[in-house]
Amino acid sequence: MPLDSYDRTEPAEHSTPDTEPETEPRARLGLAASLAVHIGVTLLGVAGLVLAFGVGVGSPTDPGPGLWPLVAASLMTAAGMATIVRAALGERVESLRGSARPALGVALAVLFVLLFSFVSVLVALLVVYVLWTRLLGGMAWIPVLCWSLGGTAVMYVLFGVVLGTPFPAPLTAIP
Amino acid sequence: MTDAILHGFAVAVEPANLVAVLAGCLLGIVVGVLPGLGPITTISILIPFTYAMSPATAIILLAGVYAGVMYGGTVTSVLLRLPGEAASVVTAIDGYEMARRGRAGPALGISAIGSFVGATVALVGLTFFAPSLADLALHLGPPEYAALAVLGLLLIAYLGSGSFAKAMVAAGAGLFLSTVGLDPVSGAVRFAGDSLQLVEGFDVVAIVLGLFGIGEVLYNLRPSQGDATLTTRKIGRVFPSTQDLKASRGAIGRGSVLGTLVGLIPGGGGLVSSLVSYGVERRVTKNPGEFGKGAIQGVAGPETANNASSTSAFVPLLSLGIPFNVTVSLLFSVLLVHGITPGPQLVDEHPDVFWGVIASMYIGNVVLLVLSLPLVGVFVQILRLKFSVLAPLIVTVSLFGLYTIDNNTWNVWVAITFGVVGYLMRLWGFPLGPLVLAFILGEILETSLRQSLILSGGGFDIFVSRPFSLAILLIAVAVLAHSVIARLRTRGTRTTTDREPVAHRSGGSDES
Repeated sequence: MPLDSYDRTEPAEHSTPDTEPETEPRARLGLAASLAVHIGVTLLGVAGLVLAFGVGVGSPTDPGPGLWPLVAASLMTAAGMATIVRAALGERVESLRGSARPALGVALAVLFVLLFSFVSVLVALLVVYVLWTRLLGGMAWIPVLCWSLGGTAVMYVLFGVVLGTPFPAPLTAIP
Repeated sequence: MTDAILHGFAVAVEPANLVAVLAGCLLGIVVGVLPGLGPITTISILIPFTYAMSPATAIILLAGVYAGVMYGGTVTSVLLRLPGEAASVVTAIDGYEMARRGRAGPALGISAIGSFVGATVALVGLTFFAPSLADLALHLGPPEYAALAVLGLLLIAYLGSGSFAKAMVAAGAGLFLSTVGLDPVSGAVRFAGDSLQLVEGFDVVAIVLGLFGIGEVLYNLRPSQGDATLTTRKIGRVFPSTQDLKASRGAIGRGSVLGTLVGLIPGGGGLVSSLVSYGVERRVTKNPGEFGKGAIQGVAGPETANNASSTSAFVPLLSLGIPFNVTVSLLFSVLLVHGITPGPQLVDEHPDVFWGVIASMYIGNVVLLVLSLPLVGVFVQILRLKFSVLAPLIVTVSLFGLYTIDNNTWNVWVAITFGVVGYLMRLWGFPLGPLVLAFILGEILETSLRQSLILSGGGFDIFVSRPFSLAILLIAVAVLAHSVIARLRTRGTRTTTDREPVAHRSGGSDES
């Protein structure tokens, strides 16, 4: 779904009144990978069971702190097994193809936190806006700079001046 | 009653609250139009900033945003066939077709009018129904609360668009996450290791902002497919003609009642109510062939119903103290932070909050009608904003907001982690709503379950020996049985489920 294509103004070409904005299905995982995903999720439930027993389950008359987590983890495990069955019967989920851009987004979010923790809030905002609009937005340099400087200024005023957030970075430009 | 309502209006017109309702509605509409931001993300971004406000002002602001998003989401549905929030998915069918036939104005106009009528009908219901339900709820004990919470979770999973098993996996994960930290009964520390932060448990805002806010941004970063085309920027005459009004009269009436009732059911708000209304309209119309080709009833009914249901979804929160949809559950957690436990006592103990919020909703409704009709042209211009500019703003505002909760980066890291989790869940078809709702209902459920067991001396018969809790549990069993039977029946006919979330930008159908 092209969220960047709002500038288009020409009328729609096709006339089929379908309800889905998507035009072609996304790539899907094969059987083995799909099973692996659902088995992995179920194992998380099993890990929960182990943790619950670790803190002490007790009994219904004398419940330990682990009794309720045990119920939650059992639900997750049982439902997880049902999803494995469904995957084995042919239900397919989306593949990770196309996750490079989301991964870059995560990297930029991490970079942002590190920069505002250890360097400076202003640097963090500016660097992340420039990188995001340039690398993920594919914008030309002039709009990149305009948006980044504008965004940084707005955020600085909002969080630094109006809300007076005490930021951790030693070199923070906010007094 | 009259005194109480008047008191509510006195609270609502206090300057801070009036500003809150105006700002909330306006912000809500803008956000509803913006790509990549649904009501859940927006409300959770705002939550850290409401901690400094009075509880009534905080809820008034957030309820205004919620109502505003419902209005704003319609604009993108009609003009782009991209629902701004999940509940507007249905509007994207006939609303978009109306716009293609040069009737974008009346489509938006009738939505605004229908939304106003629907929300007002639901509000009148809320005003008169919630206090009596609260009186009734005073007689409910821990077994009934436990049963209600179980039923709520089951219905959310059942009414969601995806697979029931996956919804239950998500619910189980949410319940488990809610147990991290102090055991509410014995005070023992669970699963915290050496982490001081984990002893306090996860902050719901960090989880929600991660799953919905950051997860959604990440999901939208994938290379795009398909195409969205803006039909027109020229909206023209917004106010529907007499003929249009006449044609939609019945749809709006039915939508109001349907929406109000469906909104009371756990998981029934938003999308479900608009789907039900669309189905009803298609059945009662004399020209079913018009549906899908720009029938104004197909816009008026669902839009009315979705606003009515999002209003009546406040009834369980304000009377029982149990939130049954994700947005309302966020308001529940805001009240808890302010030291107010929502429940049957709310109306007596905090009448300013109870009646103030209801009165503000009346005011907000009028504000939305007055703002949305003449300003539609302005809101359309917001569509020019690109997602690549908004995305870093959403991420940085979310992370800064989380930092301000306790001036610590712990919640920020939690949110980024849950952002990745939310991305994967979306990719693999695990709904996010049940996880968040289970996380919030988890403590109510655990506490009431264990109190029940203490009351009964460890026997589970307490849940079936009390008529009300037995009735609730029977409904829950019926839901579960129906889901399993339906699954077995359809297994032969369906080999693959190609269920793309319909409203990608707003978190699919979990959002209500």
